[in-house]
Amino acid sequence: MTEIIIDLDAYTKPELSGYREPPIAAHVVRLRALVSQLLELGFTKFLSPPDPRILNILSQLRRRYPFEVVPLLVDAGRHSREMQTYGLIGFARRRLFAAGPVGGMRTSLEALPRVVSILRRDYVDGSLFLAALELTEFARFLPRRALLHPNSADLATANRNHRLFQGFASMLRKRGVAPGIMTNNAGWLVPLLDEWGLAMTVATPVTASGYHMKPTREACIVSARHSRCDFIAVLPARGRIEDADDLPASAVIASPADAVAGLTLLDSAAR
Amino acid sequence: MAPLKVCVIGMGKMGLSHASILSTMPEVELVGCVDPDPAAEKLARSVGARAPFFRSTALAFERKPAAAFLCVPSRANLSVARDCVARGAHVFVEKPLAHSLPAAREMLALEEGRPDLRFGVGFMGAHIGTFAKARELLAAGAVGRILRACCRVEYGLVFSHQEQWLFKKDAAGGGAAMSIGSHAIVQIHRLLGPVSAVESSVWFFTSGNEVEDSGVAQLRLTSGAEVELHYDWSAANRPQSMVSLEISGTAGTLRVSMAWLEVESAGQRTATHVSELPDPASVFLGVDGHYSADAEFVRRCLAGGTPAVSWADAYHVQQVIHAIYDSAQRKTQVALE
Repeated sequence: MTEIIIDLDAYTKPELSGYREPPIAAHVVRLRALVSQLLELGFTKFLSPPDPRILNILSQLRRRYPFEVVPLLVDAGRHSREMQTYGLIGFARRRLFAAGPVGGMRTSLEALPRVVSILRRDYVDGSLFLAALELTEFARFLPRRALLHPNSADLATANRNHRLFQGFASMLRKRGVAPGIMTNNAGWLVPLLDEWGLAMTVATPVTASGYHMKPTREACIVSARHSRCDFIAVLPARGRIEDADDLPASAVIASPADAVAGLTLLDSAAR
Repeated sequence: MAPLKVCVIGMGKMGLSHASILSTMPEVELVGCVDPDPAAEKLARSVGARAPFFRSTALAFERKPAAAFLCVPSRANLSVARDCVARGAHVFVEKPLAHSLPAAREMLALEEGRPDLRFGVGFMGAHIGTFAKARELLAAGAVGRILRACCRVEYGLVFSHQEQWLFKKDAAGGGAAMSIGSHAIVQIHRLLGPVSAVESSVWFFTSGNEVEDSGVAQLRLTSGAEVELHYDWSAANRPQSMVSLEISGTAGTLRVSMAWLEVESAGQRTATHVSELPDPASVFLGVDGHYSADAEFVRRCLAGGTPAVSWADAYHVQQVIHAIYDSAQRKTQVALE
């Protein structure tokens, strides 16, 4: 099964904006126009971080279009910055507030047996608690599956942290959500998942140049061919808005060559 | 070839990141991580670090590392580097080179006294495809003689009072200019050449922090070109530190950021995304260029040669930062030594 999913998290980062522009997600009007355009082009699956700007836009557009939202959970980089800005207590308060009273309370109660470990900053227990809290922010979209953010997944892959992947999968399955991982290191991660017997969906950038397909594009293809995991090709969303006055015409979603390369890879892997 | 024995000293965020990258390299044997704080070991273990931990550098050197990655507060760089060099280890130091110009000068002297050792510094921007390509194009005269440039570095990092060492003048030596401005200055140095004079202002937005949050500096290059430098670590909607330059020459304009490279020349405009450029890194962790900077240093330790950004380059960056603070304080133009 080959499917294409648009990574909206990328639009919160400067890579997709033009020279010296703030990220597209900083401008609600631009972001709404971009997502509408993607929907009109026929894209119906979106990876989204728990960013209230994106979630509100998706909520509004859902009344007009049917589409699936796949939560992208636990951006280790973002959490590290938030902890620095607000302190551990302030950070926890913000995350609990974002999860809402019911979700926050339920998740906290479930995490009670691990509270000491979380307060002692155990990375895995802390990440799993955050993942559960963040998942509640997506409740309105009834997610069927969710992915671990590449910032967390890549760090765990480099350190062969089996415990994080296993815990993430088990936490999601308990909630009836299929687990997956988004990675820039698919050629390293997929053999590890196979070795650990973890069959999860792997979302990987697929580009003609092999950008963020580590260690190499070829290694990613070989590991995809031989793995039991399912794959999602993440379009290398290089779209950017050249001119704010000319939104629909100028937002380029991705180069056709890259999209074709992605499909070819996944078709080959499926065979 | 036997793997390079490496230790990482200082297991905060950057130490953990370097240790994670180094642990993926087959040509490296991570023989130790050093941090006096037991909590750092606990966190690193929960992330998955498997290397032995030590509370002191001396203990780690019992494992005979050939190279040390220093990720300690900037103020400690000199003493730890001196210790490592005395033990005969190659040294990679997280940027900036030191917390002050005199300390940076002593570090440069350390390097000059040991031609048998390799000295690297963590300016990973030099390894990002767009900047590497921009350097090639500028050297080939893509925009003619360079007249002026505008360089910006922005990051949404500091919005409140902070307690960590990075925000203490004594430990870090400075604020946004030292932390993120140094990434921009090293690019100016590599792309456009050395700076000869500086005139600057710095601003403090965050109450209670000892170091500046943003500033602007007019840099005069030895080539005669002028560069306007803006740096700000309290920029909203900037989840990553982003360096960008717009360089105007007699024959065109080149714009480069960590994501894009654009050249306008002879009525033509070409734009290249970083994903279209070669990236030899075999692991991606957090940000482009990070793995390549570590891998290049390891390669230099094993096979010789000078890293892309040497300590002499890093010393020049330190001179510019020193001049930025000096000029802001004296409210006058300051010439570099």
